[in-house]
Parts: sequence; C-alpha cells; structure tokens
Amino acid sequence: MAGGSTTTTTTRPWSALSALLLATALLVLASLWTLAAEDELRLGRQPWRNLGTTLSEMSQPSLLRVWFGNPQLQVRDGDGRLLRVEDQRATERRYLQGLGRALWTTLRIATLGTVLAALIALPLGLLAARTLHAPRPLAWGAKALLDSLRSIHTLVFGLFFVGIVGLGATAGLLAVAAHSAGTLGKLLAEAIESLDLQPVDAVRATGATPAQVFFLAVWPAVLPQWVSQTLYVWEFNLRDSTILGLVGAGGLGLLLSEAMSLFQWGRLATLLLAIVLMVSAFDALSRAVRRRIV
Amino acid sequence: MVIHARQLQVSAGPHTLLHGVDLTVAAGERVALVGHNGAGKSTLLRVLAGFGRVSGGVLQVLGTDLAAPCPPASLRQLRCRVAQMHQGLHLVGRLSALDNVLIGGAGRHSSPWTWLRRWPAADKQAALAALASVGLGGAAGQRTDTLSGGERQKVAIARALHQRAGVLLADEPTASLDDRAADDLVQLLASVVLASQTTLVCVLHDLDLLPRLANRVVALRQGRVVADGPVTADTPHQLRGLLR
Repeated sequence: MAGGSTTTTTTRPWSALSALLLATALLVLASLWTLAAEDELRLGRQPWRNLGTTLSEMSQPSLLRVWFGNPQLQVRDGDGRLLRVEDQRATERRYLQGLGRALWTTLRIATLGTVLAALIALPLGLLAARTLHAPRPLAWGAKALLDSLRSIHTLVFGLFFVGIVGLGATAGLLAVAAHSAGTLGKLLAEAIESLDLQPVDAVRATGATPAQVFFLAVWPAVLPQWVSQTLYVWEFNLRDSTILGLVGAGGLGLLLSEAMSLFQWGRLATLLLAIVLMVSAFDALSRAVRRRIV
Repeated sequence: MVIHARQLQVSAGPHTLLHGVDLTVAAGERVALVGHNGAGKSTLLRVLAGFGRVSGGVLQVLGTDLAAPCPPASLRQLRCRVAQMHQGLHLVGRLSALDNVLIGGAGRHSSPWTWLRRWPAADKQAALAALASVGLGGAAGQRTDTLSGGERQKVAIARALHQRAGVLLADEPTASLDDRAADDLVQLLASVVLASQTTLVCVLHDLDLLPRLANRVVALRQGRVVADGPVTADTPHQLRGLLR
C-alpha cells in the first residue's frame, strides 16, 4: 500500500513531464515544417551584410555628433549644387531636446497609467478575491473583467484608445491603465487569497464589522505586497510605454518608429541607450524601495 | 446560564464531528476540554463563538440561539461578549502589540475612524493597562511578528482582557510554547480569569496544567462527552487512564 502510493507519486510528475516534452517537440517540428513549406523561413538576400551595416552604424550613436559632428556640413544635390549648410552639432542638440521631452512624456504616461490602473484594480481585486466572499455575480463579473483586461496587450489598447480619444499621451496612459488594471487586480486578489486566515478570523471573533475586519486584519497584511506589486507593474509599464508611440499613443515610440523607418541606426542607438538608462535607473530605484517595504 | 447545549450535533460534509454533546456551563465556571486530536474539542469551541454550522440539537450561548441560522448583527453582538484565544499565529503580524490589543475593542466601536486604527483615548489607556498587566508594557509599540511565541500569547490575553467579555474561549493557549513559557502563561491566564470572574472554556493538552487553570473538566472522545466532573488533585491521573 505504502509502496504503491510512493511509486505513483514519483512516476506521475515524470510522465506528465515527458508528455509535455513530447507535445512541445511535436509543436516545434510542425511549426518549422509548415513555415518552411510556406517559404517563410528566410533571412533575406544579404543578411550578413545588412547586419554588419546596421551594427556599425549603431556603434556610432548619433549623440556623439553633439561633440564630433561637422558644424558646417554641406548638403548638395545629385548634380553637386550646394543646397544648404547645416550645423550637425546644433541639429543633434535639438534632437536630444526632443528625446528628453519624449522620455518625460513616457515617464508621465507610465506613472499616470499605473496610478489609474491601481485605482481601477483595487475594487475589482477586492470583489474577485474569493476569501472576501463578495456576492457571487459581482465576483464573477470582476474576475472576468480582470481576465479580459489582462489578456489584451497594451499596444492593442493603444490602437483602440487612439481611435477614441485621438493621438497623444492620453490614449497612451489609458492603454497602460486598462492593461495593468487587469494585472494588478489579479495580483491583489491572489495576495488576499493567500493570506493567513487565522488573524482575520480572530479579528472577526471580537465582534468586528466586515469593514473593521477588512481594515484591521486584511489590509495591513496585504498592503506591503500591494505596494510592491504596484511598483513592479510601474517598472513594467515604463518599458511598455516606450513602444506606445509606435501606434501614435505618445512618448518615445514615435521617435523609435521614425528612426527605424528612415534607417537612421545612429539615432536608434541613441534612443535605445536613453531607454536602457531610464529603465535600469528606475528598476534599481524601485527594487531598493520594494526591498525596504516587505 | 452562559452555555447551554443539548444533543448538539455538528457535521462538516459527510463527517460528523460532534454526536449529541450535552454541556451546561454556569457563569464563573472554569471548564477544561480534554481529549485526543479529532475528539471535537476545537469544533465545540468554534461553534460556541458562532463559527461553523450546527446541524442538530440545541445551542444557546449567553441567551443567543446558535442552532438556527443567526443574523450577522446578533452574531457580532454575541462575539463582542465572548473573547477568544487560539493556538499559534492569530495576531495581525504587521501591527504593533498595542494595535492588536485595541482590536479587542472593535466590537464596541463601530465608527469608521476605527478602520484607520483611531480609537477613543480611554480605550488606548485601557489597552496600555491591559498590556502592562500581562507584563508587556514595554513592548506596546513593537510589531507582533517580532515577539516570541510566549509574548504573542500574552498579547492575545491582553486583547481578550481589553474586550471585557464575560466569557473566554481558549484553544490550546500553550501550544507551541516550551514548558516554562507554558507554565508562565497558565499562571497568568488563571490569575486574569480569577480576578475578572470570567467564565472560561479552555482546550488543554497538558493535563498537568489542568488543576491550576480549571475547576471542571469535560473529556471528549470521538465527538461525545465521556466524562464531566470537578477537578481534583487526582484528575490528571484519572484522565490519563480514561484517555488511553
């Protein structure tokens, strides 16, 4: 009896794992086979040369022109006639100012979007948490809403809101808020559901009202997790907001799409540098704060 | 009569946890519930505070009928008058000892200010006094998840004191404490209960501590009362034979 139960507990995970491996291998083979059959597995005509050009241009970020650019660049037409004389350093300085403004917009979109998301997620998460026993239909409704918000990508929401409120940062922050409300609400509900119920029952046992039970037992225990999760989602949204401009929802993305469609790899390098710097600075800050709360 | 149970039955799903328990407790009695694990002691204690459903029989606690479904408001009123202590972690860990004691008064104050842990000044004084009386006056501001197991149980006693209830239900208050801390705690609990004339119903595992805390013992086995009588010096010995 005891021997039988140990063999089933040890063999079951293995058989599940091998089934998963087999299914994954089959899916990989099928994907490769069908893509090849559709002639979609191609690297273009000159992949290595293109890679080389791109990398070499990206290795000279355009911001270097602020110091090393030609102050009197002569722009000529095909016949060699002088069209205009351009100060590359001044041009690049103006571009960097624009980049700074776009970074600031991105930060504002991420921040306002996250705050709005937290406000939306709070009631939905409370309704969806099974241990708080909200009325059934409300709980299901909240859960379904959270799940659908979470399953739609920020970029898709971006397209959606650009269509409603027009181009710009408002569409961006609404998109961020809509998607992250789903994430934050689910995280909150799960944090509440995983709480130790003994202190909650003990407070209920003093004759406290449901509101008192929530504020005196549930909220103090969940708050640090909730703050830490909101900070984490904020970090995530900062990264997400950098591409929202691709669909016209404001911020850095517009500059990114401009640089890419004009093949200005030097500009792209500058942009990527700026993004990496901003995001990692924010990550470090948020990590330090989160470590201190919990 | 504080507690009046006749043919009390409690079941959870297909399992019957209490098979017709008869128990009458008068004010001022100190009853110890003993029995093996699964005998139904904790279940009995839980239904006495209105947790869990009664499936048959009669159960009245402080005049409130708990055998029929009870409206939330009268359940809260009852719980306000019945203090509880549990085994292990039942304090709000991230709050201070003082805040946890103040929670004992939650049933008396329904103002939304209490949601923000703002309590009347008199309550605060009383809570500090309760902490001092269990010997933790100096730890009022300390978070309870930084206290030792014995200190936490003392905070729980202070919370029960602060609730000013006439009845105290305690579920193995000495569980997870070492012998000396358990000894300490029982002494404290006994003196508090005696001084305030509180009716005590207490689940105890350690039969040697029984004479110091209780004056009546009720033994349960498989959801039934198998013995009920006054505590004498010989009781621990007799119970050992009975519960073997």
